[in-house]
Amino acid sequence: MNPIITKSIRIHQGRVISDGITLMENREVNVFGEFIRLVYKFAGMSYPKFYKMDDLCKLGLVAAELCLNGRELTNEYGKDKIGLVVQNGSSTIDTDKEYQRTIDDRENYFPSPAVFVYTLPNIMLGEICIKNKIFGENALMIEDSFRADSLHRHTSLLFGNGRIHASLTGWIELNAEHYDAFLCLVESDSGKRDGMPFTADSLGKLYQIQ
Amino acid sequence: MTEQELIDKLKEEIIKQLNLEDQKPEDIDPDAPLFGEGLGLDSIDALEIMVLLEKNYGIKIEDPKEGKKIFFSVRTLAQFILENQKPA
Amino acid sequence: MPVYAIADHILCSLGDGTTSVWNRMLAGESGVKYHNRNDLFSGPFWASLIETDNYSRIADQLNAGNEFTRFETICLHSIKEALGRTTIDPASPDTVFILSTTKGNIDLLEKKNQGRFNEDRLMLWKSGRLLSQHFGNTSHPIVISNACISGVLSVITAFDLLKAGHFRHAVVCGADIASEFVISGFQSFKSLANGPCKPFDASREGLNLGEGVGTLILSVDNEAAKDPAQVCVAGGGSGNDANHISGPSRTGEGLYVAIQHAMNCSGVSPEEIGFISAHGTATPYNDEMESKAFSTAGLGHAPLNSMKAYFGHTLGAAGVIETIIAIHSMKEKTLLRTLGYSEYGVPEIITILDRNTPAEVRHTLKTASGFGGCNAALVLSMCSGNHPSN
Repeated sequence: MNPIITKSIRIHQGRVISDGITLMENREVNVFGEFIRLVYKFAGMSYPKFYKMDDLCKLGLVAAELCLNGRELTNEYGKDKIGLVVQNGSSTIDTDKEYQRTIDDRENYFPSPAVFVYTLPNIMLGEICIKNKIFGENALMIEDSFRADSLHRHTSLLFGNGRIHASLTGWIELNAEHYDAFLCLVESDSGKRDGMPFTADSLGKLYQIQ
Repeated sequence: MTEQELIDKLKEEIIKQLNLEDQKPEDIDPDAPLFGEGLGLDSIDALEIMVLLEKNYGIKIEDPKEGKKIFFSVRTLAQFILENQKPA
Repeated sequence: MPVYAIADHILCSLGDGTTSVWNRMLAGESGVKYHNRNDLFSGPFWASLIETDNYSRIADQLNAGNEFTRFETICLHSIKEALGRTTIDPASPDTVFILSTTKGNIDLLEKKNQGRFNEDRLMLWKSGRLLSQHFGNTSHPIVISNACISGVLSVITAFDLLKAGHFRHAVVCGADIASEFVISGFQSFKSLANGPCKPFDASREGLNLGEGVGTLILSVDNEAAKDPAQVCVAGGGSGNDANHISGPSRTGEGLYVAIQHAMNCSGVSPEEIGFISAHGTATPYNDEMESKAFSTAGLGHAPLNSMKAYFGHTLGAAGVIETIIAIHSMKEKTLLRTLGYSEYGVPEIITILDRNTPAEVRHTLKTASGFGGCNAALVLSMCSGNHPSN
């Protein structure tokens, strides 16, 4: 039984798009930090921890929120059967640079634990798991750009041997003011829901049209 | 600096250092617990307050366990600083 | 179709080559030393570093023109050594390269290194490509950066890919170097022990960082091994605590989920596990969490060790290096003691190895846990003839 894509979200270039439809647009705000706060509010979130996260985690968390769209997957699939398979390009380069600045000068040397903890790209997966009570598989892979084929392959392997029955699968990237989040909700096909067949081709198309 | 002045200053610093954007200084009760149910701070915040103490007040806490009492509330933190701060 | 562990190599504080590292571990030697290196930290620290003589020799052979970074140099060396124990063609599209690392070339961010290399060398995908292309490989390399479970997750990914027939051979390289970035970060977390670490011990107070590289080559073709493989990878999985990004779960739930996935995938039951190579960082909360997860999973009976006091926590390399040592423990029929451990210090009942113990183990569990609440578990099984034991 092949999985299906039941929802997709893309956040880039001042826009939030779901399944090809623009949900929100703001071209006036050029700073990512301000833009993502608007998206956070648009998503109707109230989660004080959001403000403590680095920008990559904020992007991932809000993308996951919009992709889940109120669905409580843990009730449907079991909390340990929901996975996260995410590609990213620049790891945590912005936060790495911010942390490095706290240790560059021995005369003014105050390494910040709250910054350091965000210098691992999979922390974004942890934040999504905490917020949504997801206990299943995690995989964070680094690619030079969004790669539909390897994203599809990895997610399929996990579905194939029964380790996941649903996943948030996508590409979440942040480097300076360039941001791009693309996340799909992929589910085992129970016949109860509509969706696109989960293929590399579908992933590629959904990414492109948005 | 009086205790009250220091409390007001600490509130601002904590909000800034810990990115508590949704909090205003007047919302923080100086006697409420910072951790757990109060402000809801966690272990990373505790470490970050230690950095704040060192950076802004020159006070180093070596033993994290010591922090528990000192970091109970904004007031206990202010009192600790007043007792331990070296004259500038 | 069995997935054989056909060749490996380790470079760390305990030497260059798996045999040399294994022999020094067997002798109870620790590579964790007191260092006062101003280039790595503002004060003294305990860590496990690759010996300067070893690094210089390798760099002279491989990197005479200074075209590679320290991180790239140790990876290239390790992959070359491991490939030398096989007949596989690294350039073949049947072979995939998988790189496991947390921070790769992070030292290039330091002021003193700026301008030495193009800025894209900081990118981990660039590291993966540089390594695979060095060996003429044309498959798209995979780079896994999932904190401290990266290594175990990379071995699981290699297994899954081979099992599903995507490739015939996988070169899994896990590496991280010592850097001021990482040392100061762990120090700011107050996670570093002021002395050699003591996993699962009552007086444990923190971890030691380590630098190192491990390469493990998996293949569906045992003929590709110069010495036929004796151990196979049988399956694995991961799970998240969904609790806190830096503190381990108080219940061990995420690790328990990972173990369940590994058990289901491999078809091995908890009673059949004869050895656990645990994560065992020696921080108070981590080791406590592991004891709970192992106990809940019905694994309290299995002899268990942590290797962290031998060569420190090597981060992205840890899962690969420790899997290799676990494989050798099975082959040598010897389980190594948990160096640094003397007094029982975790809440649940587990069987901590306090002396080197002869044992014929058919199935081993390797686990890892890391920042972001992630956990991974992997089952290794003795190959029986050309068939896996399960």
